[in-house]
Amino acid sequence: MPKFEECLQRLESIVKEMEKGELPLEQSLKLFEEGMGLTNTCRKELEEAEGKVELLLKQNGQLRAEAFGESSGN
Amino acid sequence: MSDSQFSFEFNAAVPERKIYGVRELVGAVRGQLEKSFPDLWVEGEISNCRPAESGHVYLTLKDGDAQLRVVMYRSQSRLLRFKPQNGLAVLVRGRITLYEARGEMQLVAEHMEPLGAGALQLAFEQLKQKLAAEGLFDSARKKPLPALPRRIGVVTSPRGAVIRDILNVLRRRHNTLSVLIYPAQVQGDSAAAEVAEGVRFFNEQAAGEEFSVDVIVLARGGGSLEDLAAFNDESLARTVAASRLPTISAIGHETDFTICDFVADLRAPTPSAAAELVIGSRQEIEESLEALRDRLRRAMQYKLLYQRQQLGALAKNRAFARMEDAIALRQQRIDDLSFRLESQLRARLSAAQRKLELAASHLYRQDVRRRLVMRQKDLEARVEALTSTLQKAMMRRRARLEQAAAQLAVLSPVSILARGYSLIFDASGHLVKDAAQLHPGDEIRARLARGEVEAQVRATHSEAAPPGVAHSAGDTNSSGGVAETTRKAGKRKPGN
Repeated sequence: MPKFEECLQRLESIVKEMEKGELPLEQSLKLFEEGMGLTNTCRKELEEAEGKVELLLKQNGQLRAEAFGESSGN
Repeated sequence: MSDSQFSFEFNAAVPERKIYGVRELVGAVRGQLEKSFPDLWVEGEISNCRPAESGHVYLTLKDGDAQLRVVMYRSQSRLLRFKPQNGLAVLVRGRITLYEARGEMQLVAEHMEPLGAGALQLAFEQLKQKLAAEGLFDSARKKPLPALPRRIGVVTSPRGAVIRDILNVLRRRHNTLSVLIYPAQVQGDSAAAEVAEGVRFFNEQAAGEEFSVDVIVLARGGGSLEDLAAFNDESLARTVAASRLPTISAIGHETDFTICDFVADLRAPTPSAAAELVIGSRQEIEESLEALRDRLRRAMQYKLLYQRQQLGALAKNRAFARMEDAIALRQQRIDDLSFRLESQLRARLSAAQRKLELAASHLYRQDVRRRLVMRQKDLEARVEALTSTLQKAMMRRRARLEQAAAQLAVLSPVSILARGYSLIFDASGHLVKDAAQLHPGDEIRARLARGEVEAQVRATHSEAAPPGVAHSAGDTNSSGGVAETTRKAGKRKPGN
């Protein structure tokens, strides 16, 4: 999870650095490639979530998660 | 007689003399008082309030000039939801008794509640002030919501409408966020402890995989101040404040405020709003990611454009311009040569043609058919030989031309620079080929394959030109001696 935020932060700093336009071409290209890689990683992370809804239940003093039926109501 | 009169009267007024001991009297009054006022309500303003070490609370109720001593024993005072304070108007229920040791009447209070505001409200305000004073509500303490929450932990009743509201919002927004519900009573005596346990549970699981969540939502539907009391619990408030995971309180309706709302990192006006908040941050992230991608692309495009311009500008730069001139000049010379080559060829051909015509007219004039035929053959052979000689000559020249062009390319200053050499120009822009050309302090400019350097000469060390470099290839033979003699000369003409 913090990995995503780190990715995003790195991406932001890359974009800022690139926008200054002071880097030599070769380094700009390197950063550009890294930045595009980071956006892809972030996108993948965004798409990966599953959308599961679970309810914790105590059983023999142990908690376990069980799918939560929204219609079951109890 | 008057004496007897008196004594009679006296006797009549006090038929028998009853003398009490103090203890007896006080005890008797106490008994009377307790019988007469076993359970009553009295209102007044607190003064002289002294909570004792024992946990009993002593205070005086005032009403104008009248005062009433009140004691509330520990067993009762610990049930109070507010702290009795001087100046507070209260309604007290209790019984009247007499404190025999001092002979003072006092009220033993069973229950006390603030007048005007309800006790809960007062307790709420007092706890709020206390925690605020400790800094638990400081905005500096507030943790930001995670940029990309994958799973949220909801501490709530799994039976209520609240969890369904939250899940509805998530589904309506087509969200892929996962939800882990920690079931807890949200009303009643155990509610505060259960909710606090949920907050602690998620914090403990944060490092693991199975039950880790990125944000905790405390949710409960609306209700009266009494219904929401669990969320005004001091111990729960401290647990929420201590949470390392970001917390969102989503308790009651928009108008309901609880202590939890103040200590949580974010207050959602309703449980549904809490869901919106969590998704909102996610969508913001998705949008900002796209924006970053666009900016990255644009920055790169701009960089490329800029570099192209730079390259153009560089080509126009003095040093390079001069080299380009030199190259162009040579190119022109090559073109020139090749033109001349062709025109010579053409001239020779036309000369041959003229000879041929001349010969033909001679022949024609001699008018000897046989001879003519023979001559004609001979002529053709000669023309052929001549043409092939010319062609060979032309090919040789072509080859030389190509070789010259290749040499030129190798000698091109650009390719030399690319191999790591640099060109040094003196202050007037002349190419420096000999250290003797320069003197300490002179400004020089070095042209590298990429970029230019400006420098100042510190020292010069003249050196004899090695054979074959200082002189053209033609006079290598004599160069040895010349190099010797020029070593000490020091003032050789620049440019060799």
